Amino acid sequence: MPNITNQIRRLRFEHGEMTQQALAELAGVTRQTIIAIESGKYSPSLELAFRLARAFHVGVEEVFCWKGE
Amino acid sequence: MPPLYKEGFYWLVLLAATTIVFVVLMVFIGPLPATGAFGLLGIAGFQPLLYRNRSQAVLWDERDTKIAHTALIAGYSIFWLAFTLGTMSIWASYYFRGYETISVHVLPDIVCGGTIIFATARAIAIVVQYRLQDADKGE
Repeated sequence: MPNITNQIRRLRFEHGEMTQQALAELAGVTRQTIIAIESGKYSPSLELAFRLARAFHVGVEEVFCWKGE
Repeated sequence: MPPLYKEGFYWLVLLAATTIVFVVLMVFIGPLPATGAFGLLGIAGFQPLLYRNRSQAVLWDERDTKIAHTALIAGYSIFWLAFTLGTMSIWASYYFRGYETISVHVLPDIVCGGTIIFATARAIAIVVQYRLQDADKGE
């Protein structure tokens, strides 16, 4: 399992139950990529991480969390 | 293009182009013309037309690029392994049967075989990666 966890699902629901498609359009990626990130199967690039955070108007560390050794 | 279609394209490459076509053609027109028919793979050059963006939606993003890149490396690695083992085997079989040279007619078979192995390995790698990452939990 990846060492990066995320709060995308929670943030989506806190932002008016935003759909994955709506978030994908805001971040400029496909809905499948949002699904893969949300389920922890894909770790986004730093640029995409910032775009996702900006979509929620929060900092990157509120969206992603490093669970190191 | 929805991800299902992207994956579908590589299923087409994997199943139709590399297996079914060859087997059917080999039965009906013989091994040599069947090998030549793989020139039809050149149609894959029209692939970019499938990615025309008609709805302003994002069709290709960094994850697709990463998957394609990983698949390219997998395809090339497997091709190179098979190519090296294959050519050495051909040389060994000729040598132990008493020939000192290898017929030039073996070359098209090697090129064709290498292309099939590369395309197949790449398509498998792409399909597997999409399958592993696309457990659809969408709502």
